[in-house]
Amino acid sequence: MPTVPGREHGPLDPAVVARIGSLELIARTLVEGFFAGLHRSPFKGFSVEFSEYRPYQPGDDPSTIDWKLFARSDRHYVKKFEEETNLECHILLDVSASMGYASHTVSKLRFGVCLAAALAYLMHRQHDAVGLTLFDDRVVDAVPAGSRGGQLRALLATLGRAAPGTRSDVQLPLHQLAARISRRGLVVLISDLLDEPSGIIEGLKHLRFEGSEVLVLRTLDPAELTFPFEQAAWFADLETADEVRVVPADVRAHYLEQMQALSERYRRELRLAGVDYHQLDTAIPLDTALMAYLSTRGRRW
Amino acid sequence: MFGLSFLAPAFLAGGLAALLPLVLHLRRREHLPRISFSDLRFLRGAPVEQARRRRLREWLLLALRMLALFLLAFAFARPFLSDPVAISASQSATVVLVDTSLSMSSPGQVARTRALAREAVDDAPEDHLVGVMTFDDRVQLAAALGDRAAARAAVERLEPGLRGTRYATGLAGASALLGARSGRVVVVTDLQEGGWDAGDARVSPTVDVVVRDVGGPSGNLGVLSLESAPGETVAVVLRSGVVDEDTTAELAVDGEVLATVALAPEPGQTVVRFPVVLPVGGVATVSVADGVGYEADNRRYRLLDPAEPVRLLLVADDRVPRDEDAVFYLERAFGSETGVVAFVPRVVRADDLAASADLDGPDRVGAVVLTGARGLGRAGRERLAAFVRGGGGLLVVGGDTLGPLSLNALFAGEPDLGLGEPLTHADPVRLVAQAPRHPIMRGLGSLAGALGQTRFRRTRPLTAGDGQVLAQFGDGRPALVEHTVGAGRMLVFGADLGATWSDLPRRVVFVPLLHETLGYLASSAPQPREFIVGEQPAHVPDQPGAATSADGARRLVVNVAPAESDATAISAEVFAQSIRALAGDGGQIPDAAAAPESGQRLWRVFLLGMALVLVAEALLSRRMA
Repeated sequence: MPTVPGREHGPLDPAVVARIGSLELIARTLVEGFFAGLHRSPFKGFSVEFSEYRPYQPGDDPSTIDWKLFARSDRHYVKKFEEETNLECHILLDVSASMGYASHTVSKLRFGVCLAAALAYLMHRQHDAVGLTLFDDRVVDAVPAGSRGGQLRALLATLGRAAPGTRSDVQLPLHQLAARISRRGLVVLISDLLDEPSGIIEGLKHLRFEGSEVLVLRTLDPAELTFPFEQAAWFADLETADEVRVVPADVRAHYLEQMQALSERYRRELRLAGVDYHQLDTAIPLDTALMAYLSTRGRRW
Repeated sequence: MFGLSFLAPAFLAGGLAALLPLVLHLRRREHLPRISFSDLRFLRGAPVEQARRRRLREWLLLALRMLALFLLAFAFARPFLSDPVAISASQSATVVLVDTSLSMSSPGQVARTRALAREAVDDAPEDHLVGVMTFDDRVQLAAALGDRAAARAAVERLEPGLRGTRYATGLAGASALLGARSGRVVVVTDLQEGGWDAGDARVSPTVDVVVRDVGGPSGNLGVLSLESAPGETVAVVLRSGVVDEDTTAELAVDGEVLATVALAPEPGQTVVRFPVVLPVGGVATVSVADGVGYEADNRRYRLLDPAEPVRLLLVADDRVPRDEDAVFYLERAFGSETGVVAFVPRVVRADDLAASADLDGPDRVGAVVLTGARGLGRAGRERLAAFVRGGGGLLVVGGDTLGPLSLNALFAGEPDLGLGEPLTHADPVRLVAQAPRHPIMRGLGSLAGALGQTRFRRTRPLTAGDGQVLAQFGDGRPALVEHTVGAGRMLVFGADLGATWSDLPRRVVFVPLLHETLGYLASSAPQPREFIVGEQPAHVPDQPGAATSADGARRLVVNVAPAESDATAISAEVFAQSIRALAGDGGQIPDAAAAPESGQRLWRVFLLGMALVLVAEALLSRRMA
């Protein structure tokens, strides 16, 4: 999924977002900022599929025009979310120790929390029932799906407590959730997926088998994607505390090749399973993730 | 039970040096930064080592380095296995050291020797172990330290040999047998003065040396040498002590008596002249009649077989030499009989060298003359280079037919022969000798000056490099350069030896120059033909006389050591004073532990261990690098 140009240092820049203390404010800033920028986006055509906002067309009820949005964007958008509130969304956020890794100001976990908050905010505004599960090698915290008034606050409060845990086991919450889901909905998995890929793919297939749409937002740190280290060092595993003496120049090619192979495997096998897969860099704006969500949701519902 | 003791324990302090790697390791250990990372699986899969294994290897490496230094310190401390029981006073010993050299073989000496040795065994203190050793220029154990019965039996078997006397060797052997024990060494000998020539005697200060003088003959006649002289044959006879005033000397060849002369030997050396010219071939013998002295030195042998001809290999472009070229003149020069060394030349092509049997094995030639290198392939070059490195001689003749490229490839550029393209001289240059003390120039004698009469119209530039310039051209450029290659010698001549480049082949100096040069090149590994008893090849027994080489191809002769003919003796007091004087030199005399240490040489084991440890260390380091 391509990013929106010109957003690297805008309001959706993760480094900027991370400095905002309130998750609710973060969520609102992200969502509003995202929609404010859509008119400049070459991908604005996606918004035609957006069930909540779309450009005004002759024949539309003028009362559905969002005037606030018009005031900011000088474009007419109609609001249709009041009519679509039957989607059950589940956000699964990986809080394992590896998600705590950060080579710059924003860790993968912080990125994931902001992203989950924005998604929750967006879903809640669409009156979708939203649930949240935090997990590492077990379910750490969970908020059942709901759409009542205090749901968003409960979700944001739970996200506010998220902290790096222990080892990750993505497979476990996926199977648990698949067994628990009562009706078909949307499952958003936010994780670095640095786990055994076979189990993760099986878990996601399980969810698909139960009828849910699945969106995987794989969050990776830029250092994990480029391995920019130069000096020899002891590399300590955040999850196992194992140490390896590494001369980066010696291992870089091998590492990048393996990372690329893993990404390709996820991309290939999840596409075959009907799962939307997006790999996110924690250094680039969050609108990529939001765009991915809207794309998935808009295509299905 | 044996314990480990040290001859120089102070060196053990050097073992502290083993702590050096530890200190360096701790001080200079890598302080690599620690980076937390999300997932190590792809780093583990890469060719890196896990921390635990790395640390284990580092410590193993450190331990190996420390062990190497420990072993080095141990080796320097001269370790030996000591028998703590034997060190006690109750285990003191007496070694009866019996001289069995040639000078103990005069009539009556054997009986006196046995009697004195037997007496020495019987007189040993009751609490002493007793052993018997014999010595001449070596030392042998006749009866190990133990009971007297074995010692007495060994004494009864004593027989004199034909070798020379070396007291130092005998005393060192007795010290080694005593080891750390205190006790005494009883030397049963004729006190021959010449026996001290061989080196220092070393005995421990805790060991008493007692001399039992067997006494020598009243006189002795011995033949010291036999030489061929113009028109006669000359022998030198040594007289020591009192002998018959009138005796005879006899010259024989292969058993046939050629001459007998009356001899009235004076004290000291007497020259005996036989009016006979020795023939070529056979074994000449000069013998004197001596009724009182040693029998074995009454006869001296001389091999008259001509020196074996030096086989030469002439490497040319063509097997059939053309008139005027180098091989033509070389063949004729080596075919002449003017030289003192006979040569047998054979002409081969360069491309035949690879398969030639002349460069190694029993048919190996003495020297090779390389005049043409055309077709000298890699195999031929390697064989030729191996021939020279193995002690062969090579004369490189820089004529037209020699390619500089192929020649430089002969030794892979080392040494650089530096032969350039031929130069033509409008004014011919002459040859000038440069190294008058060199064997070749010395052999030429006054003829070396005749080199200056030669005129060279063509020459080749020649780089001397590290070689020795034996002759140069009149314009100052090197003409004849000697290089040492491995055990062999190589001479490079910067011109052709044919008549087209110079008039050298037609000069009187040409043949002597070639004979001296090739004789010198072929003499790198001379084969001796005359030996002293004890120094002869292993297959020849300790017996004076004629023998044959191991391959049966040539004859050898063996004579007794001339020094043994001199029966002059020193007194027991002088002998004992010599021992004491040596023992008093604390810087040279090791303590009693030196003997077992010297025998065991455990330091070599420790050094070997250190070498093995260093090899392991190197392998491990390489793996960790």
